Amino acid sequence: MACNHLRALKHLVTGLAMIGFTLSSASAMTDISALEKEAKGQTVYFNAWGGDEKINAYISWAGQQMQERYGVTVDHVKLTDTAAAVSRILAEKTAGRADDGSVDLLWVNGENFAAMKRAGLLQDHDWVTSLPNWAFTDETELPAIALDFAVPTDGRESPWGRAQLVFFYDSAYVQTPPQDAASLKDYILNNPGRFTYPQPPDFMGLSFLKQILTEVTMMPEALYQPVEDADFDAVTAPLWTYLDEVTPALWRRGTAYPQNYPAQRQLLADGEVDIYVAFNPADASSAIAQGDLPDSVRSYIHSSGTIANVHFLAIPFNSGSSAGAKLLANLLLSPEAQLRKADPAIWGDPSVLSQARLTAEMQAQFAALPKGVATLGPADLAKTLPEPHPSWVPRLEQAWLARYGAAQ
Amino acid sequence: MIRLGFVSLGLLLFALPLLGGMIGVLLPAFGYFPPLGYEGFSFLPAALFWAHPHALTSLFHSMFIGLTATALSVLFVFLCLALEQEHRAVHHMMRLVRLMLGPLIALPHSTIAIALLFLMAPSGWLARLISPELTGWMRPPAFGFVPDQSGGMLIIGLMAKEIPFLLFVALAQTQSLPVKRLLTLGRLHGYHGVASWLFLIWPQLYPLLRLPLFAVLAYALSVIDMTLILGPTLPPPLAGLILQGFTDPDLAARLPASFAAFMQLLLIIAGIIIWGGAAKLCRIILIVMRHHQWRMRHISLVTLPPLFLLGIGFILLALGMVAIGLWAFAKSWPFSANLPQSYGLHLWRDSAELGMLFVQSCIIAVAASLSSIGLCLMWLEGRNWRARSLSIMTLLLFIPLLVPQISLLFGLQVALSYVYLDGKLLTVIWLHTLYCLPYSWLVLAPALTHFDSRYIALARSLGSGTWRCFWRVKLPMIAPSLASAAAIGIAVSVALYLPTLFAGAGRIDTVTTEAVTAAANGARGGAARAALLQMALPLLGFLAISIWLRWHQAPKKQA
Repeated sequence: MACNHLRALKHLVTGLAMIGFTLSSASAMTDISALEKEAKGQTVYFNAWGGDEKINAYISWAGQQMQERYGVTVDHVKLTDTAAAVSRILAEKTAGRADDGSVDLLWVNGENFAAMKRAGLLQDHDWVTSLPNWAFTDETELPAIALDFAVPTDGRESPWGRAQLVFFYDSAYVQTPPQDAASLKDYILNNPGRFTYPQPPDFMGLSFLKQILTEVTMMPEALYQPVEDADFDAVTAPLWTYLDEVTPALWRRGTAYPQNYPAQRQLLADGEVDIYVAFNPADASSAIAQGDLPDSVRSYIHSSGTIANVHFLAIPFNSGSSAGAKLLANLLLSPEAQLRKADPAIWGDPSVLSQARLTAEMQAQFAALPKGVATLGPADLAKTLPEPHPSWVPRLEQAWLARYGAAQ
Repeated sequence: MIRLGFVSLGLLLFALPLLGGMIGVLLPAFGYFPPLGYEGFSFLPAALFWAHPHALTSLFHSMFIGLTATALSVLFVFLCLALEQEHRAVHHMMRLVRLMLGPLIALPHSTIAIALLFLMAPSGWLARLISPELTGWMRPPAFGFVPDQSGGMLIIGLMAKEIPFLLFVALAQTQSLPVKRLLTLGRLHGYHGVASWLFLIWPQLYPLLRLPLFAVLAYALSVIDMTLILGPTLPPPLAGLILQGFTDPDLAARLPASFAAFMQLLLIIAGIIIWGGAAKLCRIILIVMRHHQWRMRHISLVTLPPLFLLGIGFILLALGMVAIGLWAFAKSWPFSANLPQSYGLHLWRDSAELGMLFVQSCIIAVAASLSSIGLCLMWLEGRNWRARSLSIMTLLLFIPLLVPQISLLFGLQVALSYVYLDGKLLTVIWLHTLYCLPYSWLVLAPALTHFDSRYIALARSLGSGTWRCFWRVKLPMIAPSLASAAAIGIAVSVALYLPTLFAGAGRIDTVTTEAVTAAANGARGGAARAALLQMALPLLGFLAISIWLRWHQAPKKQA
């Protein structure tokens, strides 16, 4: 009897172990069919910046795919500013609304992500590395897919595309574009009134400050540590010397700044300035195609490289359609969708996938992509600088405001 | 009892969102914000706000701009009214203005700002028209009027919006005053028309204008959308600091921003107190002037220059509108071409989507406008209003216009998501109704409270019941006021941006949310297209309503 009992127990243990094994292997790779079943009929409110017609058209293509493949409706909530969606999620958290949140998937990165992660506004488990299409990425080749502005993503956001700070100039007025911060200064001083940057705390304006700081500081390594550990004044002194020199020669003598980078792009279209800065390498090609910029616009980056980062998709803590949102994130990470996105005729946003992990046929299609007239090729964009630690941003903003925040 | 219940129920529906909004901004302003881990009350947000290097400058900027724009608007409105019978030129201008008033009121603030930008920027239409022939500029000059850090351009933009509105209100209110008799009386005693207006009519008119004036002042003290386009931006006025705080990726920046929103409220209260004090001073001066029997026979010479400026202003505004129209269909228009080099419909490709937007905005605007009229009729008919309770009610309805929208929004969002009402079309209509109500009330209250009750008595003696009297006698007789109220309601609703965005959870789009998105995208064509759409809807509303009114009144003329 005892022996029988023991045998039964042994069977039970083996059985349990096997079930456990099956479960753990299932969680290593998201069970896509279960996800599909759960997502069917859901509506995913995809909150994404809606300022570019090309990007909007791409998102609506993805929506059609989701409808056809999984019966999931995608509603693109066009944002003017990511902050509007963050604000809504924060309001829902304040109201204690833990289900059926108004945002299902959010286009986000950098400081917004760091703040949302800290405040518990995102799904608090790793849902990203188990997505089937995660297999096409390579963390060692592109560390930024798991390290957003030096903050570990911990699987709370799925990479979507890559961005790099690029300078755009009108070749009708600029013969030889500047090569680095020093020659940019010469250009500004020799062409008074023809350069400016978006007014901090605008994101693009702060990025420009970070770029110049990285180039002129004597202690660049300090930028990748929390600002508390560094001598802020000593590290940033060369930046303020630089800006003190160029500010009187800026557009409107530095007594006014464009409010964001699209406003600065319009200044270039009107011939008021010669150069503008953006984070999307295909920005000008897209604007030329839409008739918003003259076709004489070209782009360049600084010889020491420019700041690069990755943009992501995150799911809020209270999404009521998280299954649908995961499916959409997975679709947008697929080689097919990434290839489409990289096509300048469609959007021109660089892929986050590792070419080595794609099929030969896919690699050939990526290699065959045309590029826009004003878009640099991958070789020209090879030199990148990592984003400084996010703690530097508020300090830079404060210091800039104190020095240049009031017109005399 | 039942009638009183109606009024208070309506008011409750009305007060709840305001209350939610206020609580939602006051708690974080004093350090209580549990979702971010701030559990106790403190003055930390206040300290952080004052630590901003330019907080004080921002406050002064706001106050200066708000008071100046409002005072100048009132001055011009007074001149228009007082000189209408004196100058032939003013008389003709006012005839045109009366005709155009509806569409002028319908222009959203941001459209006026865009018009001024398209015209006055260094690369604007004016510079294009005179370059390079007169100026030698092959490229835009390094100086320009927009954006303007002194706030002058913003003041001009605000005046372009507020003068037509105040004129509209004043013209509606003067109907209940014996203007012609008073003017004749003045003339018999040798007073110039301006003096008669100043001493006899204005003291009676001003109390009726006070609340709309305060609404204008509150708006000017907290304006944000025009500021982003016209300046000042370095530093921005207080409302700009609030916006920056609420859009800062660092969520803790919302605490000082909430305190700034509280300061904005105080600023408006202070502005109203200063205005009230100045108005008292003016009244004393007026009494002294009247005592000395200033007949102002030669005032015309003094009033001509400002009128000339006003005329130029209107021409500029009209030119700006034309510029918007040109940009919306321009394919290529480089500096310094006088006109676009080629035209095209490329901006209007997504006509289906634009049509949907248009229809959605229409539904919201018409529903909000009609429900605010319905509420006003219900309240006004529900009881006999004495002058005192009428003015209290008016004050209550004006509260949403006196509280800056941006201060209310976060709390409103929390309240709406707590009851799962966000993102619904009905919620958006409800909120829009709140903002339409004061305007409908302003138009309908005088019409109904001054209604000659003998008509009703007559109808009753002919055997009509209460409802029949209301529907067949009263409503047709106040049809012009109903039409005005409906048209203004539509114009107000179409222009609302922040309330739409927050109540709609970003899911409910209107032509205005589209316009702001397009303006943020920076491309001139997109902004022009959106501004055109924004103008078109209220214009259509005015057109439809005036056709209805003509058709409605036609049989009576024949009879």
